[in-house]
Amino acid sequence: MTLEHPSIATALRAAGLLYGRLTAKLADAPLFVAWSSLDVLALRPEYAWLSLKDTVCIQLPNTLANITSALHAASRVSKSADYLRLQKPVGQMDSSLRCLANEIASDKERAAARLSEIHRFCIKRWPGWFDTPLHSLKQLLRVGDRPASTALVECLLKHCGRAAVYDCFKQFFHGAGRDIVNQGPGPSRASIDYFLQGHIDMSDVIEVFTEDPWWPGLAKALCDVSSQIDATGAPREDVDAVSPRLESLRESVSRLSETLDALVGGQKVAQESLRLAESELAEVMDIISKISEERESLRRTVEEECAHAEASVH
Amino acid sequence: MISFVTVYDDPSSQQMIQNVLSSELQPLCVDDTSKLPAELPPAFLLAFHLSQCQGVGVVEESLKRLVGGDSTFPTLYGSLAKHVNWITRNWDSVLGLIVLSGPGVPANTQTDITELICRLPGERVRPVGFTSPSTLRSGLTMCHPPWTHLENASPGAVQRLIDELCGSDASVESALQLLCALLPFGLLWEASCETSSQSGLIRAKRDVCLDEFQGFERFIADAVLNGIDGIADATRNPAVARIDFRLSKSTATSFMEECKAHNAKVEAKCQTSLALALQFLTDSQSLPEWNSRLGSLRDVLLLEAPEAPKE
Repeated sequence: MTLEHPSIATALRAAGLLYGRLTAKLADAPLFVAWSSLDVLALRPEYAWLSLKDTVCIQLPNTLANITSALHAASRVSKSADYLRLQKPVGQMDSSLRCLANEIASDKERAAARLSEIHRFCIKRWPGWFDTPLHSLKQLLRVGDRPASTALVECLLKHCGRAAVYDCFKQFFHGAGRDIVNQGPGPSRASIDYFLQGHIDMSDVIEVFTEDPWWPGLAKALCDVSSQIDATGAPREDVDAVSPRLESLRESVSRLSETLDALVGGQKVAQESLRLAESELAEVMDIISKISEERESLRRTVEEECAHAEASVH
Repeated sequence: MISFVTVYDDPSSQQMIQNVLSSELQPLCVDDTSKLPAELPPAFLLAFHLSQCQGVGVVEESLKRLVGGDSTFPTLYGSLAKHVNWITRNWDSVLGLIVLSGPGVPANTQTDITELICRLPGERVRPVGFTSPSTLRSGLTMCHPPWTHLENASPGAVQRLIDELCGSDASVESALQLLCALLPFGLLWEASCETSSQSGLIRAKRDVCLDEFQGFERFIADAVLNGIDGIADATRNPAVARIDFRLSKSTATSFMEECKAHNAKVEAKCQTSLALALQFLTDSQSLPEWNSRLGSLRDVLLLEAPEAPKE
C-alpha cells in the first residue's frame, strides 16, 4: 500500500478502516490512496506503477463503501513482475521516458508536465547526470522539435541504467564526506612503503593505522554500494559492467583487513605480509581510480551522445 | 541535514550573509573555494558574492563548459570565474547556487549575470542581488518561490526552504494533514446511516478515534469536534485563530468562490483561513454536501498550493 501522505493511514485508522491484520495484508499490495489528482500524480516517475491494470487507486475524499471495498480488493491482488520493476528507480525512469516519447507526438502539454517531473526525479535520484540533456529536451519541446526530442529521449533511455549504477559510487568521489583514496589507503600504503624502504619504524606504521582504522568503513561502504546497485533495478548488463571491479575491491579489502587488524591488534606481521598488503592497497586505489574514470567517461558519453542525437536529426 | 555554504570575495559580505541566514542554516563562510574544508556536507547550497570585475575571457570559457553551446557572454564580474571548476567538480552535491551581486555591479550587468546563471545545468541556480541585509531579504523574495520563505528568515520559513530543496513542500504538507484530519468524520457519518442530516455527523463525532491523531492533525480534529457542536465555537476558538495556516490571496479567492458556489454561509470575519475552511465544512447539512465541500477544499488546497504562513 502506498499513501500520498502518512496521515492518510492515521485518518483511516481513526475511522476504524485500517486495523492490524488488514494493514499487514496491505503492506505490499498494489494499492494507492491519495488526495491529489491521480492523473497528475501519474506524471511522476515514482508513481509509474499507477498505470498498471491491477493497481487499485483511490482518490480522497471517497465514500466509506468505496474505500472499504478497495482496501479488501487490494489485499487479494498479487504483485506482478511489472509492479516490482516499477518500484525501482530505473524501471520508473524507463517507463516515464517511454510515456514521454508517446506524449511528445500526441500531447505537448502533458509531455512538458511529465518532463518537469522527470527532471525533478533525476535531480533527486541522480543529480548531475541528466541535467544538460533534460534542459535541452525542455527547449526542444518548447519549440516543438519532435524528431530531436524523440532522439534525445531514446538516448536517455539507453544510458539511464548504467548511470544509476555508477551513481551508487558517488560516496567515494568528489563532494563525499571522505576522500576514500587520499585519506585511507593512500597514507597507509605510503607508510608501509616507507617502512619497507627503511625510512620509518614499525611503530610509525602502526601509529598510522591506529590513528585512522579506515578499512572497516570501506568494507561497509562497498556492501552499501552493492545494496544500492540492487535497489536501482538497473538491467543485468549495466550491473555486470561494474560487478567484477566491485567484487575485486571487496576481496582486496577483505584480505587487507586481516593484515591490518593484526597490525593494530599488536600482533607481529611478517615483512612478506606487509608487502602483500602494500600491493593490495595499490590494487584498491587502482580499482577506485578506474571506477572514477569510467564514471566520468560515462558522464561525458551521456552528454555527447545526447548532443549528437539532437544534432543528427537536423 | 543541508548546510549553506557561502563563498564570496568581499569580506564585508560575510557578516551580512551571516546576519540574514546564520541563525538557522549555520552557513559555512569562506572567501574562496580553495578554503572550503575537505569534508563537505553531502548536500549544500552555494552562494557567491560578485563584487569585483575580473577576467571576462576566463569566465566565458568556464561558463561555456557548464552551460554548453557557443553563446557569447556579455561583460561579467566575478569571483565566479575562479570557482567554476570547483562547481563543476562538486556539482553533484550542490543543491542550489545563489549569486549575490554586490552594490558595485551595474544593473544591466546584473541582468546579464542573471540570464547567464539561469542557463546553468538544472534548476538549482537562484540568482539574486543585494546591497544590505534588508535588500537581500527582499531580493530573495523576488526570486524563485523557495526563497520567498526567507522573507522573515524565521526558523519555520527556513525549514520550509529546506523542505522544498529536499523535494517536499511544506504548504502541501500542511494541506494534506488538514485534509486527513477531516477525513474520518465523513467516513463515520456514512457508517452512521444518517447521511441526510447533521445528526449523523454528531454521532460520527463520538466514534472518531482521536488517539490516532497527534500534533496539527489532533488540533484540527478537536476543532472539528467543537465545530460540530456549533460553528461559532470553532471559528471563535482562540486556538483556531492562532493556527498558522493561511491561503495565498489567489487561493483564498478561489476558495471564497467555492464557498459561494456551495451557498455556504461563510463569515468574512473568520480570522484565519483555517477557521473559514472549518466553518465551510461543518456547516454541511448532509454527507453528500460534506464530501462535496471536502472535495472543493482539496482542490483549492492542492491544485494551487498556498503560500507559506507569515510568521
